[in-house]
Amino acid sequence: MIMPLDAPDLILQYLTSARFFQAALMTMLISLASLFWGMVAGLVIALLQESRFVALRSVAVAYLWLFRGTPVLFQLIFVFNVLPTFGIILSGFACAVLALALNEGAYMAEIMRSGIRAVGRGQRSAARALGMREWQVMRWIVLPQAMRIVIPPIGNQFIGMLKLSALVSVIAVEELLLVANQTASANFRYLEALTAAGIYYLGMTTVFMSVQRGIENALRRRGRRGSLTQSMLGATADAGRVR
Amino acid sequence: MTAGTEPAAVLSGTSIHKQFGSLAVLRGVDISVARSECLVVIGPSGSGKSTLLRCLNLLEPIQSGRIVFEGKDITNAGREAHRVRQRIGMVFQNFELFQHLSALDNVALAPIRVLGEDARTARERARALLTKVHLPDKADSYPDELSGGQQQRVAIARALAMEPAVMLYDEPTSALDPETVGEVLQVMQELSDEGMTSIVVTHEMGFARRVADRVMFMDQGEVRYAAPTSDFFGSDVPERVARFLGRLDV
Repeated sequence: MIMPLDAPDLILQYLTSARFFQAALMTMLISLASLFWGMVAGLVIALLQESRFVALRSVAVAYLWLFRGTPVLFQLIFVFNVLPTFGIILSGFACAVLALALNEGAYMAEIMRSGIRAVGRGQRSAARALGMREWQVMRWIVLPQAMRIVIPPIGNQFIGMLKLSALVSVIAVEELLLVANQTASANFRYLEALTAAGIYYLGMTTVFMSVQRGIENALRRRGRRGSLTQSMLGATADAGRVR
Repeated sequence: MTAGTEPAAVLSGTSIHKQFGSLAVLRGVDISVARSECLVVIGPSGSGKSTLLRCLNLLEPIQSGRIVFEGKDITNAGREAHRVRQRIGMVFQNFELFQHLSALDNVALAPIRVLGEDARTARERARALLTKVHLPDKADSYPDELSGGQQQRVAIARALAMEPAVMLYDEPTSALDPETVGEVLQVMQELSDEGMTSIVVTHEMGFARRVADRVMFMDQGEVRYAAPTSDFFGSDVPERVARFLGRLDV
């Protein structure tokens, strides 16, 4: 196939168009919102998993079973098409964030839990010996240290989420892939439209990878926390990769 | 401790039994420390010394026996156990300073979060306590920037910040480089001289001789011998104790 001579111009035109820019913004927004709510869901599930009560742990197990046992694409379509039959009508954006966040929560729970577990028993003993209640130990001693540990794996999750968000094009949310596809189907210039979208994706992931690296370096500078970070990276780098 | 009088025990345990699964770690231990007294507990590793300390401040549940703190039976404190622990300071072998907090905040955290003390007051007191353990210029350092001996002294200040009625030291110098052992023992001795009640699990016989009012020897989950310090290091001790002391080259 011969590349049309005006291809670079058209790609540049797409890249600078308001429509593509807004679509990229939408991709970013969906990813950030889903990641945020995914972290909240993951933290709740992780705390349930660490609970003393069997009933609470069962809730966590059921959640993980449900959301890890079905494809995220299925979850998206389910939320978008089934919730309205129960009278719950959400915008495409809300459906996208809801489904991605619930799914992300299942993977984030594992990361949060490994972070919580990485805080040694001795730290908890020391906190309890000072007279803290269990929730205070969690709030003031375990979680602050666990959060530092999980920052690098969460960075990985964010990059994964940026790519995963392309799935929401199936429920008609005007994100990057949908816009590229629509643009191309109007004039059959797939090469140009998809190249423009790809450049946006690469740009966004590149920026976030370097942000992540910066955070990791900052953590590493803090001695022991850095080595903890390293060991956690090894343990969780591939968590949540396969869906 | 004045001779002749019988001061009330600050903290005591009576026939404490503790099992981990089928392993009996404590087999009817009696222990008691009077106000301002320094009780040193020695014995081979695995004799149950550390477990005993953890049982006394309710970090470990016991199978039977009785624990009394300031005249109150706390054996079944249950949900109120955290209130008891607020008044019992504990220092750990591995310091266990909170890694995410500066030395100052390690000391000030519990007064602020547990006692609800105003943050400014708590930090001022923390600063004073760091001075007391001879670390006035390390307030802003993080644990990983401090030597073992410095970390352990911050840990002592952290425990003191709760104004405990008794301090429990669980092998406080066992994880230290020999050069820094002295500075930690010195702080412990100063506190004891000021009248702080303490139970010290240690292998430092020099400290026991200098500072302890009484010494207790444990082996295989039982108290084998307990005596005032001068008697303990005298000539007339049970053979098992003499052998243990001999091994330590006292």
